[in-house]
Amino acid sequence: MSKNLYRDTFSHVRSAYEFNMEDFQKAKKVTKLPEKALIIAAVVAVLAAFGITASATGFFGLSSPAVGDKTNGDDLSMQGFAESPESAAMREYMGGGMTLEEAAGKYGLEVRTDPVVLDYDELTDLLGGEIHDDRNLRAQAYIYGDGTFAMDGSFAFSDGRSFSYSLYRAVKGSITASAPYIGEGEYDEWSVKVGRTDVSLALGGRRSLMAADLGGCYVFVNVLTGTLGDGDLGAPIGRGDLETLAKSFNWSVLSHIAAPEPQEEPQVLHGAGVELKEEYIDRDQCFLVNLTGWGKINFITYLPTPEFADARFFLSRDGKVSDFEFPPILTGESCKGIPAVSFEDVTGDGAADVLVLIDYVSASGGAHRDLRVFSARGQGDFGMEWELVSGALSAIDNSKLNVAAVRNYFAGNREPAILENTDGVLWTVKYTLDGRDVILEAVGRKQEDGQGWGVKELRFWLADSEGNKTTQMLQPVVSVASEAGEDFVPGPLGKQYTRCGTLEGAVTVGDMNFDGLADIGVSGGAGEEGAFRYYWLWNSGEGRYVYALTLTDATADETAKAVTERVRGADGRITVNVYKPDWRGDLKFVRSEDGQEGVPAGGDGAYARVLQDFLDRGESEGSYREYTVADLDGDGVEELLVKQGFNEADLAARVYTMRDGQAVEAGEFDMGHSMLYVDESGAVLRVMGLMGDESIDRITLVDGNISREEISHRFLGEEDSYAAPGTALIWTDWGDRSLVETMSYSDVLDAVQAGYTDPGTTIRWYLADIDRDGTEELFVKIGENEWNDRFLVYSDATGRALPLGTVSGRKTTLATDGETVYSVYTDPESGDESIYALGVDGGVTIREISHRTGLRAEEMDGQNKLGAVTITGFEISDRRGL
Amino acid sequence: MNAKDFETYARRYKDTVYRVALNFMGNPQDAEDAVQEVLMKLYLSHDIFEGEEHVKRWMIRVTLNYCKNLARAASRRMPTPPEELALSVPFEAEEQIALFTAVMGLPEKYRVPLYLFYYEDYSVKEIGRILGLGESAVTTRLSRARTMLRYELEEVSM
Repeated sequence: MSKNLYRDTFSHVRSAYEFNMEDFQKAKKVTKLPEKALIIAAVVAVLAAFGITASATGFFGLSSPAVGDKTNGDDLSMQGFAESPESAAMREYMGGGMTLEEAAGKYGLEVRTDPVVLDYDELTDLLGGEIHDDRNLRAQAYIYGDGTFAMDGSFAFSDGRSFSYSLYRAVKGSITASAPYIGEGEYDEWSVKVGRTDVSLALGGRRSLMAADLGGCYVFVNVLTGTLGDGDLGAPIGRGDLETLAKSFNWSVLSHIAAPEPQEEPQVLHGAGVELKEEYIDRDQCFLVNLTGWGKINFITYLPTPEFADARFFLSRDGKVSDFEFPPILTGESCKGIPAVSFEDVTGDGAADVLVLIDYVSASGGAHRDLRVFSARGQGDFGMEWELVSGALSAIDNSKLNVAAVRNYFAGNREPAILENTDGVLWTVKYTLDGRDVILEAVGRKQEDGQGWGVKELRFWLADSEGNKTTQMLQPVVSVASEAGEDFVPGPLGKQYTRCGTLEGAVTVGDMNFDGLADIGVSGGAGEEGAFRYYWLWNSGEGRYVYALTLTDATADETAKAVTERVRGADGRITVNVYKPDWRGDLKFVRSEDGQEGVPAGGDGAYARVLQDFLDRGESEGSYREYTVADLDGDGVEELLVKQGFNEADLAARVYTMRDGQAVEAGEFDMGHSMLYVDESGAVLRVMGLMGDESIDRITLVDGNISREEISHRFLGEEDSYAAPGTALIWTDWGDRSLVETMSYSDVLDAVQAGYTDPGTTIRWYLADIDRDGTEELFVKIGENEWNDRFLVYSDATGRALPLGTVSGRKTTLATDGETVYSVYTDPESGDESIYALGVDGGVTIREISHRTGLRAEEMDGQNKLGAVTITGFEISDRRGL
Repeated sequence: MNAKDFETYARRYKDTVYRVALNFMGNPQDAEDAVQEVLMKLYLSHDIFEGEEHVKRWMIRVTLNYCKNLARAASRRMPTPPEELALSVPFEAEEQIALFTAVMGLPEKYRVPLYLFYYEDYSVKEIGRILGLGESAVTTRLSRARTMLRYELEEVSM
């Protein structure tokens, strides 16, 4: 899907509503401030009048009749408070008849206009420090000339809850009309001291408020959630949570009144300027740029002319060319073109310099590339930095002279600022990821005692073909502490920093899950249990590194495709834990030396014994004989669900759960015309559908007994499909105990062989890696009759065989082109040929590649066209290769 | 906001509101209701906007808030099946129908970020701010949407 296709497609999606201005003019327009509208400026006056800790009335008057109308809707009235210039001006403006400027002027106030957008780092530079901790989103802000700013942020708790908020810092003495929506219902108000700042808090149902008078300014935070939560905007919070938010802000930094530098007044172009002929203007190298002393101006690249045989550079605005010219340089060589122009600060003075690359051919015919660096000299003047250019040209191979190389050269000239109180790049690793060159930077700082370092962030830059860092990142910056979450152990530098004794050991790159792609390890430090690292594994689906787990003294064994972790216990004894990647590539614990294995459902065979009982009873309870396991009540212990019945309508699932080490029956529920799914939260849902009547229920255990809770019920239209609200549970035959016992592929074959004893049943098995994880899946083809042939599919990526489901085996063979495994259906009688690609996503998946009909036998060559060869199977008793 | 500006923005962005609402609610009737509701809110708003982009984002956020409230209502309409939705749009090519159907078949939480990213050209960061999500959550949703669409449309990733 291309962006253009998406846009073309959705450009056809339009509203049928025909706009009519009269519809709106008829609507009652509120010309005065709504009765319950909150005005920031008025709040300033309120605080000045009452003081933040006047809890008797509440700082917003939320609970006192003294301050006028109560909150009985979405907004809050401030009318009735003490007069202040700000609130009086706002009333006059909102009452109509005065512009905002007129109202402000009447009361001696300024009107804030023309905000500038600053990103978070620029804002913190301006204020002289971080305005909040890392649990808050680093958002950009709109800031006015007096230092008033607004920003939308969000806060995330370590338990995964999060909410959004709007923060407004209003510098006293000016106004901007703003009426935030603050929700309905009543508020619980109190105040808390954070450092030396009194912060007032108000907790409502769907909104909460926070405010502080910081002397020269006021900070107001409209928190977009409350005790009831507000959907995607925010999880429910309590008093403690609001106090946590208050304590996450640096109120002393917020009190620092600072505004961005005024924009440069643009230079006036004087004189008639230079007349430039269009034929010599290199439009590809002309840019609208912000230059010191000029403001926004057009940079013009002018190619050689008969009058001047070299490239020159000018500035223009509104079609008029300035008579200022960048220092012209006549080399005497033939200029063949301008491959690049860049505007960046390479002189370190904070102002953008102009970098130009020029290709020349000398009189003798030799080609070479030259560099110009024009730096700002004040009052709109630019000069050529001959020494810098000379140094760069000497250091960079002319055949590799490009903007990135120049940039890297100038960056390298400056000492990396790894000071004790400043973050910098501690260590860099270059490696290849899936064909791309990546430069990993570990960013952090040095411990004050000089005994080590702490890593705070990981930055993944893409490199160009020359191996130089580009400005493109592989993924957003990784905050080590945030992403490691509860696994994170703060180092001596504080809660955002790891601990590492050597720079070389700060980060390591290696394939931890044997998918052929580089993964990342970050040193966490050394504890009594050993040295541990945090691991990020490359997730191809998401296209980024995702934090996976923390391991102690871990090594990856490529041969065994296992990761072993050595953990020292309190008694000094070493325990070795073994991890293996599952079909997703996630590392899963398999076993440890003390004999504790990844235990199958049902403990030491309790569920297997239940299944054996069913098998011993034979077909007396129906011909359907499948089972599965699922954790119905979310207690971490899986229940056994045994399906049985005589036909599709008759099916029921009998449930067993573990109690005191025994498998006990917990009830039964209808499974007729049903499928079971596990949703994202882990809940087990039953989708029952018959003749378009669909009902979805959650199946759980309450006090050890089956409980069913209806989620939805609907009637489907003719073209509707039944819902699939999660990952489908995989059912397998009673005879296959792989879900309740640790079985190898050979064990599975034994079980299948024992379960299908009819001499007319043929059983063959195959191995094929359908998810390209390096481990082969087992296909067991049960051939009972033409209509019931099927493949049972298993994976042992975790160290034990687990079912992935069933695919049709009717008139079907397996084939592979070396990468993809195909299921190939051919029916010479009907002339049909269908080819499917097999994969794994929660279970085995099939995706149609081709379907043709009316073919003669010799035309059924779809497999050949794919370059696929048939996979050879084995008789059930032949265990070669297992 | 004066009447002239309001009319300009209303005409210019009513389809934006409609598309956001359709992606959220999945049925055209709710989306049309959202258009009228959001335009009325804009007309009656006392907010002061710092430029046209601010207006557009305000309209998108108000649309999303309206849709969220509507989604919680007991009277909400069921989503219209994607194939039926596609019939009501005058597409010009089969591939447009296929894409629209596939996209509208995705869960709502993927459709809105997809629209904001591919149609409205917002960055991941900006989408995060509009939706109240972290950047990594937006990246994940876009990535998963593309994966789902890839299988649905049997094409190589864009």
